[in-house]
Amino acid sequence: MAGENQVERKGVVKFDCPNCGATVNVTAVGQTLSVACGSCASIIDATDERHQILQKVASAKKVEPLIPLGTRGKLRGTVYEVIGFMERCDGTRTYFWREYLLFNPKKGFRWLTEFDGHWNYVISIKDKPEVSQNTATVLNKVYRLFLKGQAQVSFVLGEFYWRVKVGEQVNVRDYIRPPEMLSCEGTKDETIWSIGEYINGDEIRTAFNIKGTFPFPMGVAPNQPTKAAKSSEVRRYWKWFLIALFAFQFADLILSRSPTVLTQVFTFNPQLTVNSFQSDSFELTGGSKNVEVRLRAPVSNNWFEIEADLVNEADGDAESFGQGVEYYYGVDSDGSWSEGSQASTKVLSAVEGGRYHLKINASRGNDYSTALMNFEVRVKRNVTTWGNFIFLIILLSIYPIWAWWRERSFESVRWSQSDYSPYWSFSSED
Amino acid sequence: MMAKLYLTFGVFMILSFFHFNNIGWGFMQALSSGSWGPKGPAGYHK
Repeated sequence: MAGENQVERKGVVKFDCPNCGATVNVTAVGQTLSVACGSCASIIDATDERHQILQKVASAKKVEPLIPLGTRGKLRGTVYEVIGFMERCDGTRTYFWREYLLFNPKKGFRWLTEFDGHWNYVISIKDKPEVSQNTATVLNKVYRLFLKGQAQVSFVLGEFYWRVKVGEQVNVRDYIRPPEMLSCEGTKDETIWSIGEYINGDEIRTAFNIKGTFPFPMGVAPNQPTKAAKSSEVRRYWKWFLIALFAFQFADLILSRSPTVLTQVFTFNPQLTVNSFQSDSFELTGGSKNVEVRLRAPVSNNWFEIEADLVNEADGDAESFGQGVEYYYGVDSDGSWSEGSQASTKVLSAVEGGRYHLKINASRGNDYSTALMNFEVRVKRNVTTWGNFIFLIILLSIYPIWAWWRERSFESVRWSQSDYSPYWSFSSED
Repeated sequence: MMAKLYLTFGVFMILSFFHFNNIGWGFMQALSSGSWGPKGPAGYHK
């Protein structure tokens, strides 16, 4: 995984490691305070002309950086050189992550950090954030507390702008506002704040021209942005849509006219095998509008239905429909009951304007009654219906609900690694 | 990206809603009455 960008540069100070004799380079001359020998890992005082050893590392542990020291790459418009590398771990030595120190003579120092294949581009800040119980605010951005703990240096390589030591420990607090992370590292002497931004490993690999692959990201990083659409943005659109839908629907309900164009009573004779009727002609005005047919028949423990054609008198075309009523009642051990109704309505879609009549075939359940029965048919033009409205509310709600659920699942996984999750809390019975 | 697609889809659906309401076309009525099918001369179904 050697970088092709490894270069020899003028202005680099070289000396022999006082412990093993290997050549040690110092790139950030004047700013580097300590440098770890690439051969024996001894940490050397870079400011001392005699190159005094600050720490001899007895551990045989050697970690190979994914981006070799000395590699140069253009990241976010600036050429940086990797001059230092360290591996750190938490206080329990369970989680290990890697940090790369980048240097540009004009821009200064930057960091790249990597944990479980997730990368961050980190800049130290001079502004001091305002810290409350679970948040920190800086540059008008509010970050939420994610982690409190210790970080310990477990391995170092190359140059650093402080006197680094293996085993050095600091208190750490991480606050997140994906894709950013605000980190605070403190000792009893000083506190350093930095802002990291989640960065795709491929961007780093391309920038530093690293051959081979980086570790595949595992799980969800604390400040990893979700790939799904921001559910808050989708929810905002969804609210606008609902407002528009309600406005259209209620404007239609209040403003539209629905004239009754036919009210006619027919007499059903149960003694006839066929009860056919033709209504009076009626005019449906305007262009394409709906038509509501209301049927009322005084059935009692019986049903009644019509098969009808709405016939356009201009061309003889017809729209057929069936409609029925049924009404049953009685008394049982729970008391009296009833079901059904003696009236029903049916709406016919998009009927063109013109002159129409109804052709009706009626039938009724056989109740052995020979009495004639009157039934009424009433036709209204351009009634307000609710089907489109409800259907569209459901249709437009599917994606926001899915996006919300997906974001919540993602956030749940993210916060499952935190003791400060807004999704659940650890309660104690103590 | 997906949010913008949703926005576009929603605007299209709202405009469609306005149009279909205006011509009196009802999705539920069309489903139940089969008005997507052909119309014929009076009494053709009998």
